Amino acid sequence: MFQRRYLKKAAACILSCIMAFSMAACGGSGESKENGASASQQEGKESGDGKQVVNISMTTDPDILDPTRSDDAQKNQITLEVQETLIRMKDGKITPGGAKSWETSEDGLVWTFHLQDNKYSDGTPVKADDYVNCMLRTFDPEVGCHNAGMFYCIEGGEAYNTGKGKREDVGIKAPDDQTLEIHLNEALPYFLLMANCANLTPVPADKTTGEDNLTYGSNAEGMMYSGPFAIESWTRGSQIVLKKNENYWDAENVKLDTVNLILAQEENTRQQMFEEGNLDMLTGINSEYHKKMQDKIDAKEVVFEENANPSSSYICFNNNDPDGIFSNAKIRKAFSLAIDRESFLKNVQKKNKPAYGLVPYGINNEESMYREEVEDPLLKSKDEDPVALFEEGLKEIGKTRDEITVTFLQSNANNDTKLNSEFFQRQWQEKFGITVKIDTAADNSTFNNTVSKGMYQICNTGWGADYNDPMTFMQCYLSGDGNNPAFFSNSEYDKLVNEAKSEQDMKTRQEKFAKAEDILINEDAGVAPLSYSFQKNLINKNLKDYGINGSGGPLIELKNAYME
Amino acid sequence: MVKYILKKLLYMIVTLWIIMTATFFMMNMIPGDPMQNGTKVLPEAVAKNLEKKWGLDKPITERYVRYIKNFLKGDLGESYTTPGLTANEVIASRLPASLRLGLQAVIVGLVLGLLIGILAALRRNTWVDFLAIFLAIVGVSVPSFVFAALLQKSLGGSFFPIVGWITKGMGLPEQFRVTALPTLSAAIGGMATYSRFMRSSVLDVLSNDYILTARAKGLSEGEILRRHVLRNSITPIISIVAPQVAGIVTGSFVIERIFSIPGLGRYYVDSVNGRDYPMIMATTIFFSAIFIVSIVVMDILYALVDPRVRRNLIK
Repeated sequence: MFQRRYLKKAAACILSCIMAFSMAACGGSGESKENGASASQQEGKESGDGKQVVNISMTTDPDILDPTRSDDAQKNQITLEVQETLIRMKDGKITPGGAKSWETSEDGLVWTFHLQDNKYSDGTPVKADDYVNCMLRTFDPEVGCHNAGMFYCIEGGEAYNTGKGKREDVGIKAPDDQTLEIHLNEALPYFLLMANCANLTPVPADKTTGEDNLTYGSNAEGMMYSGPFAIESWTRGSQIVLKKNENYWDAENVKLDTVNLILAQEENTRQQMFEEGNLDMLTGINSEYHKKMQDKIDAKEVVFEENANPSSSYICFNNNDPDGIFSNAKIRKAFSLAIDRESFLKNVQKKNKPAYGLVPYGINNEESMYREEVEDPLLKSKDEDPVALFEEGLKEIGKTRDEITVTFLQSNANNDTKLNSEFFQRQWQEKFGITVKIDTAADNSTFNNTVSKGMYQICNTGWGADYNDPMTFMQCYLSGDGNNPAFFSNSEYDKLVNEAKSEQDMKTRQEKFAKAEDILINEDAGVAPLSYSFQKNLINKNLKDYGINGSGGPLIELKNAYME
Repeated sequence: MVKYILKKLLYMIVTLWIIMTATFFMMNMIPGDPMQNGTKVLPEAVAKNLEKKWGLDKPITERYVRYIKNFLKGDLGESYTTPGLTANEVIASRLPASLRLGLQAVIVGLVLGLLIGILAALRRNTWVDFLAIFLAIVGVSVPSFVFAALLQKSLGGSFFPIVGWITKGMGLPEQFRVTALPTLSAAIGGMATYSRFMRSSVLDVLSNDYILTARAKGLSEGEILRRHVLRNSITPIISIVAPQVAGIVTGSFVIERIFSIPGLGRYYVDSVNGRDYPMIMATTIFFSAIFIVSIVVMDILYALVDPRVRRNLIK
């Protein structure tokens, strides 16, 4: 039999090997090009030298940081910390950004912006031409910006984007280095609210000439930074480190020295990082985690905030359903009324608020909040019997219950998505006595593709605000709009929304929106609203003067933030 | 022997071509569209323009021929989602992290696995053996992401970072700090496999007559272990390590995602989700090449070290 001492020796030797390997086998092979990120991440809020450091998380890995291609919340967050839009929102109010002042022509068709004396982080002055260049690239058909359609209100933009017009004919001009002129097709009262979009930030033309037009923003080194911060390092798949831009026009009010944007895609990971003090903000937490943290919130160890995040989730019916079921308005409305939204939010989603309309909270019609002024349209039909409505719809399409089988397309196989789908399935099956099948898209890309081509019957999707005006939601349901997943079409709706685009009287405009929303949600039931997004956030108690924006601008505004 | 090696190399090239061709056609058959990948829909005219630019308007066979031609010139293509970023750049920038994680995981898994396997065999039917078997079952049946989450929860925080990876200028102690948890998470599965193999292998060797002879000759137990048991029982392990090395170097995408490691495995998954065709092709070819090369190298090594294999080849 082997002696115990040999075993001990062997064990000690192997353990030593492991330790030695872990310590010493670490050559340079795994090093990323950028530096300092993890070190500063661990430094936490205030580094030893008194520098102001804030750590926030990235939930997705940005592929490109070209402002022209910024088309989702994550890219917007980063882009808008490092680039200067014409205006910035502070506490829901419009404040000067890259433009110190602006005016509009009497007919409301020409907007003139007078620029700040701003410089890029390398000391080069920011010129009006740079804003023109970035905006023209938004329409450049070669670039393929997903947000281009949002700016078709600019003269010649749609024609250039779709290859029918010329770049020179787009109504964005720079009469001099400090003046920017934008010509619109219609007098849009909400245009100024679109001016804090990432696609309207300066990019010098010499950086985007020729082949560089398509590759700008692929790496941090080649980019120009006009905002409060500049990218110091970008480790793809890991983190981005921002440093204060000393040349920024309002640099004296920027107090943070470093912002670490740490990629953490798993919610559990983010929660643990927050608890360990590795993150200073946790946005969009669910009710369960809120409850778990209640003691710390009560003890004021962390700050809890809830804000309306202007986005809404809804059940989308294919109004062009090839099976002829959801092309019937009564059946659509019956399906909409059959959903117990309160139960869904309380028991399944466990966050947000029930929605009976399209436009969510947090969206203003000029000074007033639209949703507080306009009652949710579906509320007036809430007590109608969905079953009777369903029977009427069946008669209209000449079918019986037994013949009805519908398919609900879920966007992916994630557990949360499955729970949502099964809830809807149960509700409709129990109420109508029909079969509801669940089909699962392989991933979000397949789902978006399937829905945009109309190859579905019912699905659950949503929309978030691009700017703070009801139009950002209402225009999606115009006949033939590319972002109209329901293929909804109603001439009266089109007329009202198109009129609201240039209606200068805000009360009349609100009435038009309210009527159009009633058609979409109540009369025609093109879609069935589910929930208005309300974001619950936890914040480090020492972090002050940050802003949380829902509509336009960075989700977390850090320009004036500081650690106490 | 040269003929054998050349034959193996030819098989390697043919296998790679088959994988490349199958991936190309299957990738184009899956639903989804690289143009309409965001939540907002591109105007049709713009989408058509981009299709033309990327050559997606051409018939699939024409695209395939063009891809093969470019491949032979060493051009693996450029990302659709990050224009300007070539496949070669992606592999060069992301491979080091995957390689580092994979190699560390294999070495840690191998060392711990062999140790546990040897101990279990030497202490057969004792609590040490039962514990080793239990650990092996747990290690094989529980997915690595569960271990990752457990390690993050139990050890992550002030000393071991919850997410992150090595950056330039980090000293060795800090490199150890940031790589410890992902390495352990990735190592556990391999450790369980190696320990099971090693236990059976050691038991097998211990039952041989030459061990009895060695004891009869008066060799100490330590010498028997070192000179006979370890040497003879470790050879079968080589056959499972080679494919595991290839697998773990390329396949730790779950660990890479959980710990935010800028590795190639995760990039591969992201490319598939984003329908970034050139990157899907490039990473698939690269992973396949590593896997095939590791198997061929193992075959050649076998032939070199084992006279029986060599004799069969000559026949």
